[in-house]
Amino acid sequence: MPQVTIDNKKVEVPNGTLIVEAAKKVGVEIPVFCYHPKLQPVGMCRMCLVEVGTPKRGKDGQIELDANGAPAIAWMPKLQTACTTVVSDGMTVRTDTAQVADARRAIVEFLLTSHPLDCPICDKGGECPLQNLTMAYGPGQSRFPVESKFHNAKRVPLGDLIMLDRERCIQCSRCVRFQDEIADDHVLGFAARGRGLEIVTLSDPPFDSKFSGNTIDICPVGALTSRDFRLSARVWEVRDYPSVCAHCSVGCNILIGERDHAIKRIVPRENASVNEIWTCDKGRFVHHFTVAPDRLTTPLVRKNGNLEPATWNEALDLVASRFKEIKWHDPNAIGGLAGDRASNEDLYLFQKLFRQVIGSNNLDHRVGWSVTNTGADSVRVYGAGVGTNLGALDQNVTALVFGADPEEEQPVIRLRLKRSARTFGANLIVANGRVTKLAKYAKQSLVYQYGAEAYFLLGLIRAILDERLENRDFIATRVQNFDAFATSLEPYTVERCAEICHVKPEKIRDAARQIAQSPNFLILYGREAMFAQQNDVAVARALAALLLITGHLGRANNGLVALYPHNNSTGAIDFGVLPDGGVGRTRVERRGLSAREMLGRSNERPSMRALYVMACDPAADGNFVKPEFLVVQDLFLTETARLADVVLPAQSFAERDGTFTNTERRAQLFRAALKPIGEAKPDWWIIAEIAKRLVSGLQFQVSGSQVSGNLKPETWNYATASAVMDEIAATVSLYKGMTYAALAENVKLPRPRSGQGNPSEQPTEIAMGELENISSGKVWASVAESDARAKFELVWSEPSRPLTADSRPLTLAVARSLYDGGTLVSKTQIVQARVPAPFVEINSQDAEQLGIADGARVRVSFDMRVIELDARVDGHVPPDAVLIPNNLDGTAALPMGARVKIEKV
Amino acid sequence: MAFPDLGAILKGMSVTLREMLTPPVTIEYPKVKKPVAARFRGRHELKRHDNGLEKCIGCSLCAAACPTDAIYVEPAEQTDAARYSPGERYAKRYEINLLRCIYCGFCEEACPTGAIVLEHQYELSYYDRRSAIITKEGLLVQPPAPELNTPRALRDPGNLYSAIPPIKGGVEE
Amino acid sequence: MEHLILRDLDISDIDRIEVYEKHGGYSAFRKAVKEMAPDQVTDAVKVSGLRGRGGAGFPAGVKWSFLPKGVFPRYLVANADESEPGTFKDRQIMERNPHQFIEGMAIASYAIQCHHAFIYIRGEFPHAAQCLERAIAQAEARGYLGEKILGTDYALRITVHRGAGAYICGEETALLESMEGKLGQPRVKPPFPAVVGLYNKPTVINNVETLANVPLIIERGADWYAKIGTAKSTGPKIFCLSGHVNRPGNYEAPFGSISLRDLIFDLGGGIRGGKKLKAILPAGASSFVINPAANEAVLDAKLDFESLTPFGSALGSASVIVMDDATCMVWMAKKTSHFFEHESCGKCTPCREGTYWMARLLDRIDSGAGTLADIDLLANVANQILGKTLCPLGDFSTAPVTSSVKAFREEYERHVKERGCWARK
Repeated sequence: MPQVTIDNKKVEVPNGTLIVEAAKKVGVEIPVFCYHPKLQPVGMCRMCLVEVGTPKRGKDGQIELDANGAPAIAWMPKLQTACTTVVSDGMTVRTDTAQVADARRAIVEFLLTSHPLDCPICDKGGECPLQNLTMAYGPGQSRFPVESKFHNAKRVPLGDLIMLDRERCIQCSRCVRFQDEIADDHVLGFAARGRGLEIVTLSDPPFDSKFSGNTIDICPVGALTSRDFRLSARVWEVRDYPSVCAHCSVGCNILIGERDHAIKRIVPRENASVNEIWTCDKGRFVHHFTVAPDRLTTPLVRKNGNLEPATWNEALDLVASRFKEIKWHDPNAIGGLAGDRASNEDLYLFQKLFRQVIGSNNLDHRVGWSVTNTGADSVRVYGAGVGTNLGALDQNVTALVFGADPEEEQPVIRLRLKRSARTFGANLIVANGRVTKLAKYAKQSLVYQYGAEAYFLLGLIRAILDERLENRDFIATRVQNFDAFATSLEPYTVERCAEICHVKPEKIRDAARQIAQSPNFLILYGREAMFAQQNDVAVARALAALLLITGHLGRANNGLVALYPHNNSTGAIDFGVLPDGGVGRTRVERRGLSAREMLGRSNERPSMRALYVMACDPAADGNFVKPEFLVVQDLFLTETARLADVVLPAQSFAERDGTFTNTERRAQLFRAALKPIGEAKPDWWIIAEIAKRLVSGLQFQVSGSQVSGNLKPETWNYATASAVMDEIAATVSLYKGMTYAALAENVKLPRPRSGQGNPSEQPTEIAMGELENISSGKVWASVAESDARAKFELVWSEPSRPLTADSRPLTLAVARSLYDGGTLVSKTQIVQARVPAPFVEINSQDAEQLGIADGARVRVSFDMRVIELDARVDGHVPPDAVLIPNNLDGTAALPMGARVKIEKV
Repeated sequence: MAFPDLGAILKGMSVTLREMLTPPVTIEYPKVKKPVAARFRGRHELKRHDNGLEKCIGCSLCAAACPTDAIYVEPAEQTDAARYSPGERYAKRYEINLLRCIYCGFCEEACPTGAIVLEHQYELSYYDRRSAIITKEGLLVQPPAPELNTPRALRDPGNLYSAIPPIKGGVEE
Repeated sequence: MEHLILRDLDISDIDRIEVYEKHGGYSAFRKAVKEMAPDQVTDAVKVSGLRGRGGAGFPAGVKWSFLPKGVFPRYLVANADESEPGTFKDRQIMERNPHQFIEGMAIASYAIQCHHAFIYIRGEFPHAAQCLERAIAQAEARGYLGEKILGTDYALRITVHRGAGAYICGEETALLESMEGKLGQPRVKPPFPAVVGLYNKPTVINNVETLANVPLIIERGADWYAKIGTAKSTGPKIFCLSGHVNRPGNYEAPFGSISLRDLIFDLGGGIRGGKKLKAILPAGASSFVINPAANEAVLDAKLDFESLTPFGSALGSASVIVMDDATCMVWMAKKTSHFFEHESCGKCTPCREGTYWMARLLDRIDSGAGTLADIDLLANVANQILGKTLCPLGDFSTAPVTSSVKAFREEYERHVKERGCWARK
């Protein structure tokens, strides 16, 4: 390790360290504009010039000594850029000399000659590196006459979300490099030259990237501003509250910037294990639903056929009395549907209400999609080890990304897997029924036939066993039922599997070798495999078998990561909002009814007398029949709420405290930032109030019911959300010790929450200058990890063959679009242009056969539905499959893997 | 010794006599109003450029400088179709709570465009606390001519360079 | 005297390959490929003392030996982006004696074992590019280029790549960026092109004139070559003479054989219109201006890479621009500043902003609106650029400004006092 001396402070740093990073270690600040720790250095701004010397060596290669016996230093004739110079042993750096100070003053003065100096109207003012460094190193006065200033275009829309001010731009190329190196969407570039050098977008539509908002944060001046936040407040007037993004299952850490009880902006908060310092545009811009004018503000109760405002007491009493009445006849006539967008506290109390007070297991969070619990169970047992960092997998890790499209569903995970693959050399194997954006980072990209997912996995397993690459020690000591499994696998030769799943056998063998021979092996499996209609159980068991025969579990970078669709899908499973799964991923003895069973079919009588629907909208998927008594708890008057007898207004994630558990099983804390809208209450409070009212009348309940005898109203007294979490931390083993205090560790704010302050007092930047690599949140340990002697059973599950071509010859693959037609997205005007019109993607071969041209209007029929949309003909979808993004206009609740017929209109 | 301190009495009476002959310092307020010093700090006004555009650009620096948090500014973006001030930004809402204000003049000093000035109006009394909060309408001075009021459409398609530093007259028309 | 590089002056149709062959053409390449190992070629060039003619004067053989061992493919790029104002030597070589240049490229390619060489030619030289393409086609037809050259296993292709007219693309890393299809902006060094060059592969970049010297070294021997010129600056050199002289043009002479006085008054036929010599820019727009009146000795210094250093200037690419006594030095500085302002790529701050600022200051002084303080400010701004830029362009831009302020300060002051330019009144 080379030792360097910086301003007389000695420090040892790893090979390849840049001077600017070495200086941070000894507390010497070297000012920079173009350098960013996450980006490749370019040495453009020249702000970081320092004096650099190396030890003088004589002809014999020995270091010469000066008069004092210290090594003599050969100073380089020119100042060197600290951001591009790599340290070498014995290097001496001076940053505190007059020459360096002059250089810094010169660079700041140069930058300001062309800068419009319109700080008072600039959104960056107050957290601007150019302001801060001008104050610290710049000259006090300008020698450049204002009338000679170079003028360039201001207010240039660089896409729907970003506004560019070309006058303020200092040509540091951070935005260009972010797009090229981090996001890998090459949509920005420079044009022209000299003083006219300017940022242009190279894509159509302009700035076509899902990560464009991050360029606002890393821009060291006010050149790139958010078209959402733009000119609506000064940054020091905005109070930051630590929160967690409530959109997808990545759980990006964010700061909600609040002013006047509204969200002004959202910026990422650093969490090295989750989102580094980035977030996607959906997380950043789609927040207007929190203060949408059509939010529910009071409880509504149906009177004379109409929903009318009521008091909380009135509504809650009605719910309690009706539940009590129905429960008296049959507790199992009450069902509960809770969306997996609700927080852990809500979901925990929701199931507690049903299981302990009502006495019904008719609970589910899987509304609009149907899947068994097998995959969830695999995560409990084989979940990836604590310490797995998807953004820092190195060449010793092979990761199989199976049936997932993180670009659309978990954008930041795509960003992080790209970093793992490109920066650290992780070996990605991407397998899906189509080519996704992630495939370009994969060492191996495999496209299987939709419906044959399980065959592909069995092929991998068989290839490993055929070549005797399995981990025999592990199998002998920890795995049961191996022989029976191997016997069942007998008919499934690699060739046979390959033929069915349409992947070449040598490719399967090659992937199998890489998996078995890699020191670490991680599986990320996504929605498209999870919801594979006929084969979800077989897929989950095959994935488990793949981990078991290779022994890749129980350690960091090994095991299973399920990429769920929603922000708290993991929490919903953890807290047993399932008919067959209890709290803490236990099994319940008496299985209740699933969402599908509860909702029934349109021509059936509803099987439930009462339904309690929280944070989901089953009626939007069609075929919904209102039960006798329907309670809906939501932010908006959803289609289900319109039918309800009682509607209870809930608070959004921005108005309350809570926790979400992300797709990597990391529980993360979010804090209230806004005051409640109207009389809306947190979900956990509403559930507890209903429970209290129910419990208080239960003394008369006959014994033998599900209710435990010691249930008293006092046990439902929760003053705050943290009290609920305290109970969880004390009683649920997976969440042991995960109190708010523990989850709040390392949660940092960029500036003190003192509200309005003098902007000059505290120079701030948004988590961009100093990266601390902090992580917050807690991951619960899987069985494989917490129990070193646990035995695992290989379970065989016979795969069912892909449906054969019939009158409906094509397989339907359901994709998702990041910006969909959902309620939350629809409230944000600024992203509407990015919501695609509904379309179906067809392979060019099939399209030719069916005589369908690109852009043609087609009719797609499946199950008992027919939808009309535009066709897109391109090469991402394999033959015999069609792809339709879910939840756009008219494409809700599509069945993954169904057979479809397509014809021209 | 009958009048040992006659001198003292005379001295005292001379003051009385002198004061009897000088004009009174009191004035008959409110019939008569005393002119205030040029730099007197009274109630605030928001000034306009000669072309009627508001000098205030909604930068909130006055609010940041205010030691009593008496100023509230809500800025917004403007277009040439409805222009309030030069540049991209204007004050959509501007309120001063005169009960909080201590008339220190820091807001004047902080203002980059000379928009806010503590003028000579000192007759500040209210029947209720709410009316002590003066809004932008109350603070803004009259335009030089009725047709030069804001917002108005401007022919110049967005001369955005002149917001800071202010060029005389703001946006050229 | 026999011309060694500008052989077209002796043999007018030497651009035809038969003529070139008749006069010994391609025999050096034949000798190199058939009789010499690649390292022997490099060693011969090292021994010859051949220095780069692009301006910096770096020894060519040493440059070739910097390539990391065992990394292939490697590339040779001939820098034909001759954009320095006052330089036109490469153009004459490429248009009139292209085969000597191509032979030099072929030998250099063989020495570094490169199989695909490129000529990056500036977009303003369409005729030269056509001449080169024709010459390459002729050489291919004769078996000097292509597969199995002269019956050996050596293969070489040469591709002419036309630039789009940016001065900065004469800087070697910007040239590489431009060749790769990117914006012409210099790269951070290190890594140097010899290690990470074109398409991230080891690359040697040489000037056209440098490469045209190579056949001489192989054909007639490195020792013969090393005897031409001075000990440190060997070989013949083309001097580009332009400006207010009677006979501007390219003049070939060995290093250290002629002085500026010989060049201007003897070869160049003296100052045009009988005027007096006032100033000399010895290396194009990026040179320190010489005021001969201040020190007559400068005119008698025999020209080589180092001989002008004592006089505060440098020979560079030997593009001697001569100015008579009717020329305003402020105007000269303004013209060069505008040139550099226009040609700055904009990548680094001091050059992008500094050249803009200097141009504005010189506009002001030249128009008569300047003050005495502006003169000091100008020198100060130039010094603020100096030594802080990513590539040498920033430093170049300051040379004519600082040197003219130093050597002709009274002229600047006259502009301020007389409120305008004396020469245009």
